[in-house]
Amino acid sequence: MKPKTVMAVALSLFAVPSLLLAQKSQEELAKMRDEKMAHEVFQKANWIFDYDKVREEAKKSDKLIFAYFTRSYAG
Amino acid sequence: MLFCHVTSRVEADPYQGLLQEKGGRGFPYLAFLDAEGNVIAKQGDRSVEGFEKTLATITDFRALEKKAKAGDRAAGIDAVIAGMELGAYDADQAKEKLAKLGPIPKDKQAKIDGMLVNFEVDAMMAKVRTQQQAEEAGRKFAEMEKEGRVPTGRTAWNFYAVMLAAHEAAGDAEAYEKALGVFKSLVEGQPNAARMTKRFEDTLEKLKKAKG
Repeated sequence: MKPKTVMAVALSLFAVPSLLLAQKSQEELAKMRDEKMAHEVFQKANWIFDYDKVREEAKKSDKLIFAYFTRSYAG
Repeated sequence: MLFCHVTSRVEADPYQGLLQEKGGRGFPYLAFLDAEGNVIAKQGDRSVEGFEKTLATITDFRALEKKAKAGDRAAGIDAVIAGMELGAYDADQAKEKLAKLGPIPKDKQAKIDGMLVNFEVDAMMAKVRTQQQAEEAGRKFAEMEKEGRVPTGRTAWNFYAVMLAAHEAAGDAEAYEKALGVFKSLVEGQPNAARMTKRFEDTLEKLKKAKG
């Protein structure tokens, strides 16, 4: 596959999710976020989703924070 | 403490830029933070052994930092090395800290220099977006190899893989074969080694045929 074709395909793959994101309302994005946070994996341990709260708890308990960064806005 | 940050693109949600602030470039991104929110370690290897190694290094790092604060210069140097291994310090931060610690023993300096090469290659790789940029980076990596400045670990995989792109573009079968030999020795035993090398071996055959 020629480099120009590869770039065209790659750019379209990036562009399509951006276009889909632009169509999502704030309510839909909030719903996706809530569904993500309700995922079964987060019920198996005491996950904190509040950045301020986890730092406060880490200070009180003198523990490190294990941070898992994820997203909910794309499928 | 287990913390999950969800980038939601919901305008009202706080800290939506936290991923980038903590050095993440994509999802998922795993890191260990201290209670202030400073990145102590970035977790790349998601195997059990990888986590165990990180936790052991964090324990050493914190103990060394404590000694360094008490005035132990040797511990200060080892703390910077541990911090570099964990991803807590980038190249500039590490150099700044080391400059304040005075002369560094030769063996430690050699280790630090090796890690700085890794940082340099990782930084160059992060900028590669196109085939042309990959080939350009590959040419620079070939020069670095001639100078004896070769990274280690997974960074070395990328180093040689991208170098192969440059050699392929130049039609240099001999250089391609040599770099492929090194790449194969680096990935030997890895789960996808055969798949990774098959594509490169096919390209080598094409280059040899083109050479005639």
